[in-house]
Amino acid sequence: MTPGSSHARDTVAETVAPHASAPDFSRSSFRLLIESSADGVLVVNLVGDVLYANPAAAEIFGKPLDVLLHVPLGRPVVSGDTAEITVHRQGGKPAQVEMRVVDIHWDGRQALLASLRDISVRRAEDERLRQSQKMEAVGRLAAGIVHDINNLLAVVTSGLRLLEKEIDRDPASPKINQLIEGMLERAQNGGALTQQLLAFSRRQPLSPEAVDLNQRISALTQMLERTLGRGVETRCVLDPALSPIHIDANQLDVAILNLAVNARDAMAGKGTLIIETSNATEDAETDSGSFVRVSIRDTGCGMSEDVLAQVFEPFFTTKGENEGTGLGLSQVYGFISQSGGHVRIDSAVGEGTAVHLLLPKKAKTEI
Amino acid sequence: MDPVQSGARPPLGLRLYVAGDTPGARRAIESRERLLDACGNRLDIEVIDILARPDAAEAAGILATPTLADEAIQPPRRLIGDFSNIAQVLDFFGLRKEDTPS
Repeated sequence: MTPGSSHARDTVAETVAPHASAPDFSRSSFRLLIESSADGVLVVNLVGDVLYANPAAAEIFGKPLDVLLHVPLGRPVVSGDTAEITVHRQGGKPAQVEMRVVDIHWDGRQALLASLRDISVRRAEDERLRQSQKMEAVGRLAAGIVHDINNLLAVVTSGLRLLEKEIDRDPASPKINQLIEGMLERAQNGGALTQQLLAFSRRQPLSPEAVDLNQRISALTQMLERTLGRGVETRCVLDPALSPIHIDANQLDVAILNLAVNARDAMAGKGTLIIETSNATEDAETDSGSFVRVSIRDTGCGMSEDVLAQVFEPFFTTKGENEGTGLGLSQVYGFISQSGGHVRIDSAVGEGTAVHLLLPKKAKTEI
Repeated sequence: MDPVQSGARPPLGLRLYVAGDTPGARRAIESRERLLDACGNRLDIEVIDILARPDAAEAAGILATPTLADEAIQPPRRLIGDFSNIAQVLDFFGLRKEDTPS
């Protein structure tokens, strides 16, 4: 079979055309469909040699059709519906490709049809959306931190005045050293705050790692108290026997921060925010025992069923103009789903809201 | 369950080609650990990050990652994609007992 020969093309039509159910389609119509498809189509034999490639597949691999044919690519395998592969092109940018595989017959032998979709652009857009959601959260954090830094600056300024007076009064006074030490500490506190903000805003890809959730929440709570204001009491109820989880820790911080800010707004700045962790118990809708649960509860106004039905939609917000963009909960939903977890919300008008994040435990290693 | 053939054969040496720290690469490396757990000392899988060793990938003619390859035979036998289905991978490389239920 030669590359692009009519025999090769007819075989594609024969393989894919449903003979009985759609008699109106001719072989040439199917050939045209496959040859002009935006998705790459490969037929590969069971040892992994390419037997057929359409022009879109050749473009994805950055190779002429005749070069791609008979290349020992490898037998394509997926788990579930799709697999994501990276295609490496000589001198070009690698492409992120979503691959689907079905069994077919080709020239009377078993073979595999792999359809390939270049999702590089979609991945880049997802990354940009994640970053903008994070920057929105950074803005919220910054508002709390700016207030703290102003307070620290006020302490340092008055300390310097005291220092000036003390030096005028007695240049050898032991108080001078104490004042300097005190101001140095305040300056270090300020530096730590800005470092947290910088670490939070850094652009980085989604990168799951083993995370000690309780420790992460304890560290975040210190920042939350500043962001939420004095009217909100934050309480943590953390299960000491919590299993480690496998997740992107920075995005998890953003998710919890988004939920905490929503809770503050639902409580109009006054109330109690409770963050609980526990190992998830049996759950009919999920793989029982494979998740840990983080619950963020508030004593706020709660949500009606109508609002609940829309909360995860991007840009949906109940907040006024300039108060919210509606990206917070969509970040939570997008991130948790992408991480293999689930989000549940319990809420009723006047009874507060509890958002439960079910997060996957560290990946298992057994068969 | 011991899906591995018995006997004192030398370990089968495979190569796992990945590119950097993508979700697909991480899944492949998790699958590698599961394969090694399943086969004990009968299987050895060398991980090659083609971003760090582009020459190795080029020499082997690797077009896409993750690829799991047996390059001790000619032509090499390769799988490409997601190797989470351990039984399927073991079958492909002839590491599974014929009478083992799947």
